[in-house]
Amino acid sequence: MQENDQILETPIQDEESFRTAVLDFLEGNCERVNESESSLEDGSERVKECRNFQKELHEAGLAGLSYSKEYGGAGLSRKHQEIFDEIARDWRLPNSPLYISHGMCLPMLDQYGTDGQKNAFMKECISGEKIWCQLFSEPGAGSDVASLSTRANKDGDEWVISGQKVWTSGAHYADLGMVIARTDPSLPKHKGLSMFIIDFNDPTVEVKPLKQISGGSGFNEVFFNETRISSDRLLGDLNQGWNLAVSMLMFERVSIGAGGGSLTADRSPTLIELAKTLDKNTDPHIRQILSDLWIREKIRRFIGQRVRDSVAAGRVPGPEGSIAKLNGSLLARLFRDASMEIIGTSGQAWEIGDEEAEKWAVGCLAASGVSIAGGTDEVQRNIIGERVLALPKEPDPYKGASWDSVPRN
Amino acid sequence: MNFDLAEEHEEITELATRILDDHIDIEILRKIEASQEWFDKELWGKFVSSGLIGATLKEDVGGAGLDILALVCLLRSQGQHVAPIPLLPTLVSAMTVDKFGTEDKRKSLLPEVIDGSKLLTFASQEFLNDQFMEPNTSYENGFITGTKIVVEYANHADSALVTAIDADEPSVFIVDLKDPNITMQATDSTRGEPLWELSFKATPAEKIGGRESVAWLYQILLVSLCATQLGVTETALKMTASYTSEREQFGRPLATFQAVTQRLADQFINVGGIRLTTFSAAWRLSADLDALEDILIAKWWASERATEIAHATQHCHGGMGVSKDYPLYRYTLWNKHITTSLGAGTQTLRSLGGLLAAN
Repeated sequence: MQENDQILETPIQDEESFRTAVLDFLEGNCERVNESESSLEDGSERVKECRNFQKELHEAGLAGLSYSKEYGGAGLSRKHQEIFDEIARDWRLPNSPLYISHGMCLPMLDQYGTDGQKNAFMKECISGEKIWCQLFSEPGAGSDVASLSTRANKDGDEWVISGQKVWTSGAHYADLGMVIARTDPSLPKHKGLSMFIIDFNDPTVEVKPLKQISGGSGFNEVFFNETRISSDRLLGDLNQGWNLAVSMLMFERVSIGAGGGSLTADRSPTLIELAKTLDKNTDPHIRQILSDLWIREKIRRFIGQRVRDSVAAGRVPGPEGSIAKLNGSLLARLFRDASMEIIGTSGQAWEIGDEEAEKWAVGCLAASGVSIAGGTDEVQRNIIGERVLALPKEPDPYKGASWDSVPRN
Repeated sequence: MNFDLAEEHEEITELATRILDDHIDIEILRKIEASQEWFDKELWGKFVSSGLIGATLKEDVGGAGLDILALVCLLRSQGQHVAPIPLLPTLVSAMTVDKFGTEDKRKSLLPEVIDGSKLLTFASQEFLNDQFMEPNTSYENGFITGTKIVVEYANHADSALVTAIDADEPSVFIVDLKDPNITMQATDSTRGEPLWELSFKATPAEKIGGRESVAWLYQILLVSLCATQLGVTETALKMTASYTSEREQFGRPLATFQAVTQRLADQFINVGGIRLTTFSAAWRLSADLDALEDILIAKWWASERATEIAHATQHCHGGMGVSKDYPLYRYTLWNKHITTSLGAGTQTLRSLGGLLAAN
């Protein structure tokens, strides 16, 4: 501990020595990127491995790079994060269970948390001691997430949360969740929402895994059965939840579409390797597919760079997050089709237990989730139409109507 | 010109659909999947007792003598219900024996298939070999040696048709799957059921036919895959139309959003394309006309356009499409299984291109 404390006290400001420190750490703690694909389906072994890794990373002073030291960060700049992401692309970091904690919840705590909340939650979030999830979607509120029905009622100094969320990634291993709930049903749907921090160890929080087409269970249904939380668990202002949700979705879209993590790592090199292994790298059609994918991944890097630079310049990510997210979803499909083309019959059947072969088939089935999670392609296109191209908004006959007067199913 | 189905085809469709509608529901599908058998024997029994297994076999072996269009009708109904029975492997194999086998073979084997006491499958695909007419499996002096992959229902079937080279000529053989000189290895598959890898090591085999029988097997297999895909995509689209009509977001049904409506309208055209090309190909094959070109066109639709249908139907279901609690996913898995069977879009276009260039 003594040594680690020292490192934390002397952050590696100098870019070159920072680079060396990151490289040293990754060499000592993870494997290089091989053909292994990232997936949101995290088994308990993977979560354990993730927690250990993140603890080491935090102790080495390389976690939460741009967050303040006061709250457990490394107190470095966005530039350092950039360098870290660039180096980390070549490595398989076992930290995918922290993707939501760090991609969405941490920036939200940093931006909207009170001092008390920052002190209580940020350090353990950065160090991976506590894993977070986010709870938006409901059975009746998917694309129209603002119409959600989970209720938060004030009872003395407490809030009582009741309702059901769905498609919650990682809820089965999360310690805490950011939940959006309706605090005032008499207001229009966007106006009466608030964001809360809920402890998942509470027995009134019930998590049920959903079985997915790809065989795994990364998503859950979450039930709040009159879950009581103290009033200091309100994040941001009362009835301002929609603004927070929009920021959080932007963080999510940036994270899916432009982040430095494994979700946005270039995958054409893996496919090129696969084509070589299967002796298909001289096939002109497969070469075309690979070149096309490679070019589009280059473009993705540029989009990502733009988004990250704008964040680094202190701007809250705007609709460009939607461009990144939509592009990420198109690329996921392109990758899926390319991999199926190359792998042939092995995408149809594989030796039992041959994970290397199975992952292609699983990856193929998982790709369709990317166009839905974090806002469908249609939602992204609408956002781009309205906010980037300044096209008129689609008329909403219920505009301004109170939530409880609008029909829904 | 009358493009309606003939009366016998309407009748067989109606009969199969009635049996499947009565029998198949989500609970049954779940039970069959959980049993790891992937074979609904009760349903198979109903197909047998209704005479459907023999419908496309000749009358002298106890069949009803119907043509390949009747086969298409049966498989389409199966696809609509994603019914876990070995209909395709058994019917295609039996029809191949019926067309090319010796009188002795036909009369000893086919009545037992029709009465349900024997199940058949076929073993034609090999690892990294997409040339159906050029198997690496070989035949010599009554024995075959080689390895076949993605064989359906090998654990339930009694005999399998196997393609192999007999003195330079691609040929079809029949082997007894209980033979000790066969090693069977289950492989996991997208659809969930095991597909089998069969290794033959000097396994006794009986010849059914030469080059012509292999070419025919290839064509009827492709048509059968297309027919099943037709049923699969028809139901997937129907489910999506009703889901998007019922599901409301922003205060109105999803289906009233143009982005959804237009995408589904495109899928309607795609399903129509699969239907027309499949029936055209099946008709040519049953009329003994040159059919390969039409068959490859149909398989392209049943692969490339079917993939589009799978993605669209899945996507328009939002998260429900990914969930195993909702029945759509089975259609996506069947779709993908059929798409990749015997070559997906590109491979089909290559074969078609080869055919056009040769003419």
